[in-house]
Amino acid sequence: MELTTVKATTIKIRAHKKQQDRIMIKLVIFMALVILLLFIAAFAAQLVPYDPYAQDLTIALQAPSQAHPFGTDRYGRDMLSRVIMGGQTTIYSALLLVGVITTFGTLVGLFCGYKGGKIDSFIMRVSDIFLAFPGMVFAIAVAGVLGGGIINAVVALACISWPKFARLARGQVLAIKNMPYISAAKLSGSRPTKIVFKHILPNITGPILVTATLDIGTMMMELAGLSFLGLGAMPPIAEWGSMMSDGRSMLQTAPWVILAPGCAIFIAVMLFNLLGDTVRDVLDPKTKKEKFTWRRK
Amino acid sequence: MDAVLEVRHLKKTYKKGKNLINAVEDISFEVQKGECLGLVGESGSGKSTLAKMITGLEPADQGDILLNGKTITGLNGKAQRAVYRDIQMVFQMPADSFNPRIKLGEGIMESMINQGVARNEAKTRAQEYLKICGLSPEFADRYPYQVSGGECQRASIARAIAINPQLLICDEATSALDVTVQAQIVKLLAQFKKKSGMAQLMICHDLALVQEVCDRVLVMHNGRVVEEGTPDQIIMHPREAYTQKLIESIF
Repeated sequence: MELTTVKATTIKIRAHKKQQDRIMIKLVIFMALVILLLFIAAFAAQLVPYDPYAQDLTIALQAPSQAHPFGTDRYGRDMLSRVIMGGQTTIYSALLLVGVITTFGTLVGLFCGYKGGKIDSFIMRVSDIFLAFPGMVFAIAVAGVLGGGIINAVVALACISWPKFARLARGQVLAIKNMPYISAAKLSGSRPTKIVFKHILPNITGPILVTATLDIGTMMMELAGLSFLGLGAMPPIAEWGSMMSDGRSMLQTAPWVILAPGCAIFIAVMLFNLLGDTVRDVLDPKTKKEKFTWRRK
Repeated sequence: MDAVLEVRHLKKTYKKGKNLINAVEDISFEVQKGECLGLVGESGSGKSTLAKMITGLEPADQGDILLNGKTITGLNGKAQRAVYRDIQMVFQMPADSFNPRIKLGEGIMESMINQGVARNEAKTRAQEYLKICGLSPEFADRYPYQVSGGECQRASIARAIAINPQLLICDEATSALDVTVQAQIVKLLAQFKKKSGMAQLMICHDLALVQEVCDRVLVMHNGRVVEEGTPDQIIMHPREAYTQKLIESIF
């Protein structure tokens, strides 16, 4: 009887460990792929086989071949070069956007959550107003007012996306604000800024990091969406969304023009989402707690 | 005798929906230098609220709290931080009273660093205080989840005494620990009282413990002090019906 319980526990521990290992392997794989993607995007200018902006109408709209693996567009520009170059614009704009909204939203959330009171209610109502608009429509309006350009598209999307992080951070702050260790920090004579950045922020980075990673894919899609509508990157700049927009009239005659950037978006977004999922599995507070109890024993 | 802490007609009311809950109602008492005052009462009798008000973590509705004759109610910012040089507290849940992301040593050093002690010196002093509290210096490099509850509580005491406060508040400091560890912690606290003349306010619901360490006891019930006296007086000859009930429920 006892032996079977011991056996069951051993099996359970082993299964748990195996699962942990699998998650770590997944994390390493996706991390490596994302880093590869970032690397390609960063060194796009050196990696492209042809000049992505050089036009040559004699080879316009050629089907994929040995010389041009993804074919050429209507100006005879090499699609592979343009997809690689476009990756730089799309991926780094998305990363910039996520970086900005995460930092800004988290700071606002930390401030509101810690301070509380009227100022907190006021800022949260403002964020409610931003959340009340349908996101994309609002972004289109902002981008329309600001005019085209990838930076303006980033600003437009940042305007509608920061409240999510502010609310997340604020909720987390409220959850740990009354922990005894925060009181202890106050009793140590620490200033509020020190308490917020030394004691609160490190304890809420987990969920924020997970949301940020999961958001990279979404933001990439929305940026590409704005560009597709002509409110993001301006031609001739290579950007996946605007490249798709260029190719949509030729979907039947030259599908590679729209398929190449489309597939690029699909793969990039999927990679970032998979990475986000794995990061969540790793940082999940529940599995983490379990890990701690193992260690204590 | 001079009073380190004086509490005068302190009141605190919480709102819960439409009901008003009188957590603390018109409480006055004093803690003398080198004295250990026990505060007993069932849960919900306002003991912890009182501790929070004395430490300034909760504002008081009415009344005055005096530290060495100076009022410390309603302070904020710098003035409040200055008060924490003289008042420290040991919390009920040892594991929760340390930031899980920060090493114990770092937590102990924080108050010293805030007072302008250099990092290196703070570190050696933190290790010294850990030693005084019966922990080896290696504990300074451990995280809260790597130590047991008793060890954590010792570290918590080390943190509280590191800046040599005049008043130490122990909010059920031993209730989360098992009996043998409890005895060790209580002994440790008694040692400090003797050595440095530190005044102590022990919030507790364990009458046996109170009898062992406290010089004077206040019994609280529904936010009021219902009885006051030496521990022996209170346990042997309780006057109030509530105190009798409290004692009967334990012995």
